[in-house]
Amino acid sequence: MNLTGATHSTDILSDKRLLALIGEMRGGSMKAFEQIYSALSKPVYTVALRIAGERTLAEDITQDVFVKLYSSPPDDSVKKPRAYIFAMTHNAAINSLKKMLRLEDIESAEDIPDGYSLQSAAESRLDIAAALAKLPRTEREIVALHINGGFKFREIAQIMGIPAGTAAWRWNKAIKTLRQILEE
Amino acid sequence: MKKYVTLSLILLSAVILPAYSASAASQSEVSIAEDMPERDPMEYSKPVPNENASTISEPSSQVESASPSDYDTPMIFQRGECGSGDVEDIIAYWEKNGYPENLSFIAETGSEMIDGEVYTNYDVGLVNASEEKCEEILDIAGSNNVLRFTTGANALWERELYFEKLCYLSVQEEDIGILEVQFHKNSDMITVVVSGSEKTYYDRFSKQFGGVATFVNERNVATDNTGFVPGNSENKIANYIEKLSHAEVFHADIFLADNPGFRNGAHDIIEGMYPDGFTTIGNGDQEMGSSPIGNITAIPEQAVDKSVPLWVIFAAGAAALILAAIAALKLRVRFKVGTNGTAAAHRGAEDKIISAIKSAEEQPDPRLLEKIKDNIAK
Repeated sequence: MNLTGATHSTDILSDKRLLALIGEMRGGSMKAFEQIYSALSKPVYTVALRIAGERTLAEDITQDVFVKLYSSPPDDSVKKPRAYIFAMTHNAAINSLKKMLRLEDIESAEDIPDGYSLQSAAESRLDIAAALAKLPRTEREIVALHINGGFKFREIAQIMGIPAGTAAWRWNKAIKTLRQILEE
Repeated sequence: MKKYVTLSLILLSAVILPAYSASAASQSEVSIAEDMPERDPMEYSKPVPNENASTISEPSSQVESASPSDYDTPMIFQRGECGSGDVEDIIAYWEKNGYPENLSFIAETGSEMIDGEVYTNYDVGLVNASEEKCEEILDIAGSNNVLRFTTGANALWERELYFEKLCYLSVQEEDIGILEVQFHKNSDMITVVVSGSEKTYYDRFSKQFGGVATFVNERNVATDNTGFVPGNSENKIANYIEKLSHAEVFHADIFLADNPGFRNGAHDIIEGMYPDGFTTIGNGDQEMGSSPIGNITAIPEQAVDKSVPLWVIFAAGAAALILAAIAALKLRVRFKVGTNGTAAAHRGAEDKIISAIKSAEEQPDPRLLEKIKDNIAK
């Protein structure tokens, strides 16, 4: 198993801080927007990439999410803005995939075929990225939301529109699969 | 170092364990395995204990799986009203869209013709039922769906996790005597068909599965050989169980026959999963914690009666913790990833994977922010 030890920022913006920044952003503060972008662009992009499987598409999705966040920020009724932003990311990614694969008639994200490969894995030297590429899309997304997004399974269930038990079960399955792949 | 460990263990065993057994016996609730999902205490209400019904049945003439009426749970919101939505078959709707998180069970209890219209009756078990929750379901159900609401002992999604755990249990340990694990969507209990005495299984598993599983001797239940799909060639129990999502019955002997190398070769894969099936990540994210789900109504006779003053328990516990901490500092335990399949070794491997995934966080093009600002400015 070859696991590189690249540094990773564990600063996850809290909901409370994010609400304050969104309030400033609503007042037109670009500085507040930049702080939000700085804190969340990486995990949002990672989740988008895990769903979409392709860097250009993931960047488009990330761009859409942040443009929409600035132009139509969530109102005061949204108490969990982090989950809100990642739900936007999930929906934007699924819609992009459906459009790209011409699957507009599909009602559930679960029905989008998993055969979409993660191109970046071929370029990446990190074994973990290649291993992640072998997971089904929904498991990749759950792994990204749980580890990179820092969400609990109940929150992931709300973001993805699946039962919490299913989210926990799929996470478990994903970790087992990754362990088997990396130990080969 | 050894003396600190020994002293702390002696303190624990001499004082804390008997006191805990006594206090546990005096209570009517039994906590279950720590690795099960933590329930929001405000969200779920505890089921009402029923002194007349035991979840572990004595040998009886029971020939079919338990139905909701067997548990005598209090009926709430006995509406008997029709739904107000447009879903023709609420069970099919939930099969497609996912079951509500607070749903315990749904049982179709029959249909009747009234004034030329056919009405289908359902018993709907909810955890933490409220009028609002019932209204939500009535808004989905069709006008010919007659729903009667009641309380369930546990949520369906929680029961799925226990079902999986029981399946693993049935194949992991030789001669455990669990023949079948039956998951029911129309009942809040999992039926575990066993070859031995039901009391034996109660004594052994009440803490883990109390309030969610009924152990029934094979003589007293019709074993289900329908809707069963044998495992595929991948020989992995996780894939096997996934294929059972609609079969709902897990046959340990058939699984083992289809996967002959399971116990010998694949055992280490399972060891990291059970009993720590739902692991946490890092130190801060204690996602899964202990929580009482159900009530055990029959109390083991071997419970110790004598009580120990609380202050003694706390003092001994504090002393044991301090000694254990000193021992741990001196011991400096390190876990290595090895091939012997210990739970600690697998947890270490998992932590490394999680750490690697965090480190592999992707970064967008540095020019993306400027592109976003240009878009905003347009």
